[in-house]
Amino acid sequence: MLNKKIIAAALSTAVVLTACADQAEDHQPATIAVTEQDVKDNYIIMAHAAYTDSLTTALTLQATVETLLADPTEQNLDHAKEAYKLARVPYQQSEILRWDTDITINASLDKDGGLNSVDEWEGQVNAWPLDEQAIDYVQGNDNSGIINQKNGAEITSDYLIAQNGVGGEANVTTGYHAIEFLLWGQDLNGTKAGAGKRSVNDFQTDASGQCSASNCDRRRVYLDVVTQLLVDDLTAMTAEWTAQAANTKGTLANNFKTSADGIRYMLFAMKAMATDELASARMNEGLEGLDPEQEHDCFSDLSHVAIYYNLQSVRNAFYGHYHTIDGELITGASLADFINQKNPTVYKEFDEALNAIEKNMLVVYNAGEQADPIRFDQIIGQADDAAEKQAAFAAVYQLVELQSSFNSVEELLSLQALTLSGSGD
Amino acid sequence: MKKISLSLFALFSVSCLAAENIDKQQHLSAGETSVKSTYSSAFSSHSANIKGAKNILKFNGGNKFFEEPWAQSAGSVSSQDGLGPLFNNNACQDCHIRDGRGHASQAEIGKQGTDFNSMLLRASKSQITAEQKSAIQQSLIANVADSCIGGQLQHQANFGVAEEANQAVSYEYLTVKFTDGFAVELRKPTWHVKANGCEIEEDTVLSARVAPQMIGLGLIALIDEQQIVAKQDIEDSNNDGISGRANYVWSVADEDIKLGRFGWKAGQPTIRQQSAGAFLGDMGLTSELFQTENCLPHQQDCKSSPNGNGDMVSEYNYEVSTKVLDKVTFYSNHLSVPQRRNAYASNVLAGKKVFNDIGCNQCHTESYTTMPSTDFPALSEQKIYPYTDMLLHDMGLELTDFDKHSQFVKGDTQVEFLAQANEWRTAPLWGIGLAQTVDPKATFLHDGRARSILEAVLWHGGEAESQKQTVLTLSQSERDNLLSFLKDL
Repeated sequence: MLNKKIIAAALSTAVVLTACADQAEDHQPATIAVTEQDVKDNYIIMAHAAYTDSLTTALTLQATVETLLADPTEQNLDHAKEAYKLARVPYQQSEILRWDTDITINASLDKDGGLNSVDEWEGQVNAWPLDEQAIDYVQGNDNSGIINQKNGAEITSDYLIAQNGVGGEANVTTGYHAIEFLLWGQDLNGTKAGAGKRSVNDFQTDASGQCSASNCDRRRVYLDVVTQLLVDDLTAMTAEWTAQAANTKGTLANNFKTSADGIRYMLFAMKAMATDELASARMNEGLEGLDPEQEHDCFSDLSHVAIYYNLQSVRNAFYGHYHTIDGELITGASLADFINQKNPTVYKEFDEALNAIEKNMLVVYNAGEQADPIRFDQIIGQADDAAEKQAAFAAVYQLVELQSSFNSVEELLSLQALTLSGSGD
Repeated sequence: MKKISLSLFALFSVSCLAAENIDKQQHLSAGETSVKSTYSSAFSSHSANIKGAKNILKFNGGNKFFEEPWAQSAGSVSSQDGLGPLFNNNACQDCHIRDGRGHASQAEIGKQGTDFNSMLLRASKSQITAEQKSAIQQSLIANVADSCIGGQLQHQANFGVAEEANQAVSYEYLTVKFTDGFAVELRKPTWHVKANGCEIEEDTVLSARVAPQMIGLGLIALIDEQQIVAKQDIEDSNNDGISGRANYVWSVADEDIKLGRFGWKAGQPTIRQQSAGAFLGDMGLTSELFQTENCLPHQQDCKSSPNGNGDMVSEYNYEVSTKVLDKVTFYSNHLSVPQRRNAYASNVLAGKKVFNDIGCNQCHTESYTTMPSTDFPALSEQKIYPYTDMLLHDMGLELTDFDKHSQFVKGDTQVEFLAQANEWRTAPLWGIGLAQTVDPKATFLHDGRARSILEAVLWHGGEAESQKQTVLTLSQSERDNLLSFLKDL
């Protein structure tokens, strides 16, 4: 009963979110002077909201997974897939917080027992590409992966963390993409329409006699454990960004709040996301390399959601706003205001560039959401003159060209943000 | 009166001369390519003078394949699979941490450390046939691999494949004293290696190598070969105790002998071959240049593992497509060197003078102007300050390669083309002052034994023995200045 309610709530949220993606609202300049501290304080509120939403949607996903395991039906599998999609929306926006090593590496944040860095934590939550063969069967190998080690070690979160951690990130077996792989299976359609098609009977119990692929019990445990691990990880991260955490030494929020390099870090992260991660790794390498699975959500074919909301993360950081999954707009002192008050020309250059990118990214997003969808891996296979491919490539180049806007901002804020301290040793 | 004014004039002109002699460009360690950063991301920027979205996309594309993990075959992302069967790590960046250097494991007294995530052991036989010896002498082959673990010990493997060996390090802690009584603790490593299912041969030489920093490589590639070779003095004919030998190595692409420039023993001729070599040796990924998986005859599980050749769109008989190799090569050429922070501070300049007076600059050659390059125009004709002569030098017994019992081998044993067990290429010093900003765990020297720059200096022996002895006589202020200079690089 509870589960049904959550699912119903989740599905209605989906409608709200789709609508959200259509509003590229113009930023209203602040009427009062904005300080660096105001910008940072608002950023902490936004960060907390994005992680809270990530956790809430992961809990919904967990509820649908529990329903699926209790009653493996096509409908329940579809509900879990829907919940996965919704969970990606806030998480992809939270990713702007990922490039925090410059301000966390020597901050001794391990002393409070909490997390030390988003970047460090991220490997367990959203590492990509996934080594799906280390998890379950794949085409050409029915017996691969932890799931199919019949007498293998008991699957617990500690065991999965240990597998994940062999020498850094070897054999990535946890996080969103592990759940994605378990719900969808491999996408064997190349650049043609269609995502992975896992049979719901992969989740029947071994004893039921309906198990379609061997070792269903281990697969069920895997899905259960890996989803719980995601919830645990997001719970820990959300706790780092509460209002209380912001005033507690040793948390990520407090470290950001008290860092002299806070504004520089925000810009650095925006630049890393826009020009490098989003434009290059998550879009251009697929579009240019013609490998149809060189996309961020390759099993589910939900890359259009992942990349659209990655762009929103850059916009959020600039405009100082965040749309929660409940449709609330969190807004406050922004980098945009901070820059505009120093140099309206630099602000305008940035604002116009972001809005031009938004237009092209919306073409890609809408193509993936329309009735007869064209998903990102299909765009990879399109002719170069197709509207969607042109929009995708245009967005890639516009994102990279943002570099010049970043350079202008860095120059503008050099005294505040980039003053080098001491000898650097 | 006349005399006084003359001497005043002389004094004035001397100090004026000193001021004029200060090179006002030296804070730009890598010329116009230098970047301004003192953060942990300081080694991860592209050359400051790279322009154009296409070039930046190429650099970023290389970064993706350098940073992200590779999956075993057959992964869904077919252009990024083929890891293993045997490997040291699954992403370049996991050893070259934030494009910086790796580290040796920590270990307390009496304990063994097993963190080999950013370093590895090479292996080569020393009892070989006359024919093999001659091939090495002619730079046709690097060495002859050990029959049990091959040319490199890979301590990780795909599911269902046995790892080659277990390895660990323990340390003896020593104290070195300066003449003024100042004491520095050094840690002397003992290496522990146990192969899996076979025995490493008694005559095999092991060579411990930490992942080196990635910055400025494209500029080093463009140092004029004539200039490097001119500094060779193999027989030490000028009797300064310093010889210096260029390594000559086999270039797979050119099918010819070329000057070795990259790696701890200058065993690779180009960044492209170095990258392809690392893809194969460290990650088990074949490429255009090295198309055969490095499974040994007795490693049946390795040989029967599937490969990740080709991708969903194109067929090719190796795992890393040429497109990807080229991107990683472009990336590795353009990782930039940070500007110096306080190059003209009086203590830093004084430290530089100590450095030169001692004679450190005899091998750590300060500056070059790179050759013109049409392939990489950003790197062309740049005045750079890498502090290396690019030559191999005998660094003494303590830094000599060792056997499986961790005993030093004979210093003149050839282990990598012309490079001997006791020889190491003069390491470029640019960026060392930021090495531990980029990664606080980073350590120094080829095997990572030195926890600080000063420890690294004090391990110098062999051709640098007399310079090291001079360092030990420095006063505190001279010592502090020397370190201020090195930390500013």
